[in-house]
Amino acid sequence: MTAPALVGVPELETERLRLRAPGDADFEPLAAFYASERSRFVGGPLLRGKVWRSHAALVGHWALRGYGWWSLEERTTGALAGRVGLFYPEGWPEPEIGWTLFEGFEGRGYATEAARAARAHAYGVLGWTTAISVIDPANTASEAVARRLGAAPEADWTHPEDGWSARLWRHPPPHVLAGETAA
Amino acid sequence: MTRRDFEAEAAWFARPGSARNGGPKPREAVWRVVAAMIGHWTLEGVGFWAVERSDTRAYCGRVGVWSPEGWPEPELGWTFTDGADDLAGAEAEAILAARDWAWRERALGPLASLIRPSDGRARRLAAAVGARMERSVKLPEAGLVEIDRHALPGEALRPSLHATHPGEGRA
Repeated sequence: MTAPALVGVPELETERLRLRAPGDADFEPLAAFYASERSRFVGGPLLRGKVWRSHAALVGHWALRGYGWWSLEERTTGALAGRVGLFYPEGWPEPEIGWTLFEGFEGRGYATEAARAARAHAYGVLGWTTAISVIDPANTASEAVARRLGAAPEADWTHPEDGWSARLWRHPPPHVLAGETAA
Repeated sequence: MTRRDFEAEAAWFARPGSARNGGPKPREAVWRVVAAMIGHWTLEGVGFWAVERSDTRAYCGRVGVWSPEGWPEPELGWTFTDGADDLAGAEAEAILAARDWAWRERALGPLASLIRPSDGRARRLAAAVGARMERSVKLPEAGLVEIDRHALPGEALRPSLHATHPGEGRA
């Protein structure tokens, strides 16, 4: 059976990346990521069943909020490099910009490039006036991305239900970024 | 299911009566379940519908086909609030509508329902729609559950299905 494509998700392109709707084809690479230690800063490692439900919820996020996570493809190869998105599940402190790169795609500025496009969409199309990123304080690579995006650490936060803690980073507001392009 | 249904679900799962559906549950948990149910349609081509009363359009539960990664086979599932308690037989109607759709549109059937042995309400509903207890299995997450087998649309359950060895020919 061919599953229907997720409709209503804008496709964005940056210089090197394509942000497209998440779907069934992303599950296996995601399960591989969540089986690895690389996932330790974003809730992993996780068993396949849990990864599937989390992925399904991220897909459903688009229907509930009108925005969500994109799958990140390299434009030249079509390879799945990770994901980036606008995330605001119930219980979250505020709408967030998040990013994850899969193994082999780090160190090239992909996360920064993709997050900048996601942020431009949030500010320019969705009308967000501010944005945060929720980052594990041990995730120095992700903090470096946040800094490159002009964000600054603001406060620590504990998830009301799950009990884990993270640091909230505040992005510059739209007027400060005025003139910045998606790419 | 939509954002409106999330608010109805969250309201239901905040009430003590939701104990019959495994509640009460915090809003965060209900949100994730509803989001996953919506995403399930995209990933599997099947999923859950929100169920409304046709008279008042009030939300009274969900019914559909649940087939996440790791599930033993596609399941005909349901969760009803107390919104249809005064409509005798309405829940069975909704379950049968979902069962018939799955067969007609997705060639899925005879479908299973996974029922906790302690869930007398689910057991009664399964019986009301003509499903028969087939076997018990122990699942990693859900623990011990009974697998009920539904009939195909328009026919009573064939006796030959009962003679199938456990696990044989099943996805």
